[in-house]
Amino acid sequence: MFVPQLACNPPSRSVLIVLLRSIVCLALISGFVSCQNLNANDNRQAVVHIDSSNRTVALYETPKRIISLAPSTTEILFELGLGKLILAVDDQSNFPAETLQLEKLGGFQPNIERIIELEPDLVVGASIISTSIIQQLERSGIPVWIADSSTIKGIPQMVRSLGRVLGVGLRAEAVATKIDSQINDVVNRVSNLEPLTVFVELDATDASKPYTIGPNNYLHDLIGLAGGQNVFSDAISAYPQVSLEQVIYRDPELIVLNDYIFGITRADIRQRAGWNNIKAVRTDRILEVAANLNDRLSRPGPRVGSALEEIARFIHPDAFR
Amino acid sequence: MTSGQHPNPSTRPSHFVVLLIATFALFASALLASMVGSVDIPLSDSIAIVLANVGIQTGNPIQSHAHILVDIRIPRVVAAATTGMCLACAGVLYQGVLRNPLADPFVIGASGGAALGALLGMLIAANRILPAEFAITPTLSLIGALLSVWLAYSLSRSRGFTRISSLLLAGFAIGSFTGSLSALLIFINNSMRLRLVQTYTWLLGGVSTNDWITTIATFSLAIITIICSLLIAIHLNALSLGNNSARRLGVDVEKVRLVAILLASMLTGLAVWLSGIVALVGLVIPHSMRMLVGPDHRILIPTSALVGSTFVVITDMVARSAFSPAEIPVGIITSLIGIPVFVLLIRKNLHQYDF
Amino acid sequence: MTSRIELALNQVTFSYENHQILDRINFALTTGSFNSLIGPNASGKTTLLGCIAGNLTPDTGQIILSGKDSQLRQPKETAQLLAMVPQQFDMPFAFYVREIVAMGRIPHKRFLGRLSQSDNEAIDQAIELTNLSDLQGETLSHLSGGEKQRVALAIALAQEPNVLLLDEPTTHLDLSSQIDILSMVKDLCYAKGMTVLSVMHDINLASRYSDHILVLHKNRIFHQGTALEVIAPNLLRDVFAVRSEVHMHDGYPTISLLSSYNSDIGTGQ
Repeated sequence: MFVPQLACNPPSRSVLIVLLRSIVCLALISGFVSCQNLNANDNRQAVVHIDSSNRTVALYETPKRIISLAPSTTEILFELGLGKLILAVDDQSNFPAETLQLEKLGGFQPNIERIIELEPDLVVGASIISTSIIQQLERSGIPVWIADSSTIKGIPQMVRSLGRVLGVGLRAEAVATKIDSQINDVVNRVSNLEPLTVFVELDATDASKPYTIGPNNYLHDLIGLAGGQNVFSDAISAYPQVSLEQVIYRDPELIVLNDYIFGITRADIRQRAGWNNIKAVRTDRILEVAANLNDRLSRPGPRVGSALEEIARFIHPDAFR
Repeated sequence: MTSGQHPNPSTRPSHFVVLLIATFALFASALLASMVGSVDIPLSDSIAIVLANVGIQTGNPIQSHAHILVDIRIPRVVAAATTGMCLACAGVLYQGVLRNPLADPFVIGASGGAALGALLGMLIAANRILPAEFAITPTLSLIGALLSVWLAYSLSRSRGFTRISSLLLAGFAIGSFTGSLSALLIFINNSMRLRLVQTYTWLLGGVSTNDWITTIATFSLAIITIICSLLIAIHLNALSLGNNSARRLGVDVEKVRLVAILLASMLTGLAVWLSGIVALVGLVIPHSMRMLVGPDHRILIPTSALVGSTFVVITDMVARSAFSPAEIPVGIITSLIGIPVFVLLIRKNLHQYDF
Repeated sequence: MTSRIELALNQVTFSYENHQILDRINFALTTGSFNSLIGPNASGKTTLLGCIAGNLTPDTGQIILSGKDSQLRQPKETAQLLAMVPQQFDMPFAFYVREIVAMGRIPHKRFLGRLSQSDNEAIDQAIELTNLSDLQGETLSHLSGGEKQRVALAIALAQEPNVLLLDEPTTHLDLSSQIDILSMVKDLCYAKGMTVLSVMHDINLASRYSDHILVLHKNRIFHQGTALEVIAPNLLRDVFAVRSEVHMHDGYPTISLLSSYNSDIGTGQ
């Protein structure tokens, strides 16, 4: 057989092997270096803490200059009495009123260079921060603390651990206890009552296929504690898009309109084709979530108690008379 | 038909001059890009910082400025340059192998696979299935590019030979399929849906900032791969004559194709890892360079690499600063600049197209 | 002058998807000879050239090129000894003619393929022989069919081969160019000892320039020999199904076509 042979020796196999080995080396080296970064450049004694995302954070002293990259962490910091230590916040931070005076660092893509220039001792954020940003900050020697909770009941602990790190353990304990009791107050009122079915509408630009919440997310947890039952708690993902048929079939007794801040009102719902088959629409048990409530509903922080109560009042008004 | 007026071969600029200017342009743009950012760092400080890093103490730059320049800006500029040279060179290789000046690193399915791999990596990292230190995202991105190209290549082979049209079809199929898989992945996964904007932005192209070892390693890997491509340059030239003619010149067509595609996929995988999907660089740069220096791969490859890296360095600079402090995905800028340039080039040289 | 066999085929067969195209082909070409290959359309002439050039793999048989079995050689080695001019070629990229001809030197180069003095001389000569000096800076898209054919020939000549294969080299050329090219190639046979095997469709040109003619018909070498031995009305009737007259002109058998036979005799495949 006439077999085509290599001509002029194009570098085939040996080069490929070298290149493949380089990839593996590259990956391992990258990983190794990321490990090293934590301990680089410092001989001082570091205290190692664990944040809400189970990350290790090494601090050399109590932070005095803080940057907050999430509205929830901003609220917590102010509640802990540390408002004056905050150098800058993210765009969404709007409570308390003092935040309006603070420098804003951007939305989901914070201005890294400015953060570094401000020379904070600690950057606090929620779990949604991209790993790339965390890595860039840590490489520049700035520790990052994630303060977040995916459950309502986990919030007091989150506040406690952040407070301890910031040297205000006692105050944090007080705040955490207060949140705890607010939550328990609501839970006690509604726990003996039959849960009512709730449909939370996140977005219904296509009214025949609205977006709602599934299980495993903060809002679902809140509804449950408030004495409600998320009609889509059996969904696969946390923010599924469901069919109108399913909504009608499950016939929720209550509707929470999270897209009220985008201009969707109760009147709009009543006008949608097919929606007046739903019990909540017929009985007009629809909650329009205003901006203030929306903030409180989405931020695992000190105002969760009041948000929980307001939702519980909507679901079980009788429990609050 | 008579030949009429003909250009003599020396209407193309001298190779040496072109390479010199291109190298200079790259350094100049890298310098400029390092000075641009949302924080103002005076030039004297920049120089002092750079000198300090090589051991010469001058001036007294602010420590935070040093971090910004050395840990954030310069690695990013290097990553942009690496991305540009990888994409441009991959484009040259694909076009040479597929004998089509419109081939692009993404037409053969490489980008779809790379993106899918990277998304899987992000998923694994986000759900902490493996420790973050394993750098799973870049590895999977590279593997994704290679696998999808290998798949497209195998699908299009029959009786030991590969038809170019089948390769393009298979590449399209693989690219679409992996694209849909990626979309599905984003859709059903909690952590990805939450980070939808981040993922979407990455898919539109965004140059990443990495630690120094990764930055240097990727840059070196890119350079090595590009040098390897130079070794098959004359074989790629011969491929333009057609499979049979190339074989008769002693070129092992199948092996050259395989090597070229593998090298190009490595480069594509590297680029996607570093910067997501940056559109058009792999198409516009080789195309315009071919018009400038001619189709000989020995000069086309290095020129495209240099100009490609300059292009991405500059577009990244624009992406970072045009709406400062917000950032636009660099893929948008490359498209916005690239497409008009591309159209202009085609119109100007319509008669040069032999196909 | 002792005659060496530059190219010999020994029992070469080739089939494609169960059709037999070449059946035990045997012949030997002496060094420095101009040989023509004639036969009806679709008789396998291009396939035969393809096998000799290495583009196709014969099912059985040997191809002895310059004393060694081709199948035992590296393709690069073969490319230094053998070149082929295909019927047509085109390129998707705008290389200049000189760059294209320079590709003929690839079998002699390594790595980046820098051209040496002797490479440039070979290229210059190839360009001169094919009258392409004025067209060196053109791209293929500006050339006529005939000019492109000359470029293909120039590439082959630049390879400085021992054996040159031509597939219908006169197709796109006007009459004067046909004579020019064939004379030029014939001269190279004498001057450089180049061995040529050319598929010819014009029997008179084959007669005029060939030292040896091979007739391919019904998958076999039907007949071979000098023009005098091969070109005869009987053969033309059997192989090409034409009625003809053969006259001697200038010492070469020259045919005049009279009519065609629309019968089964000698229609080939």
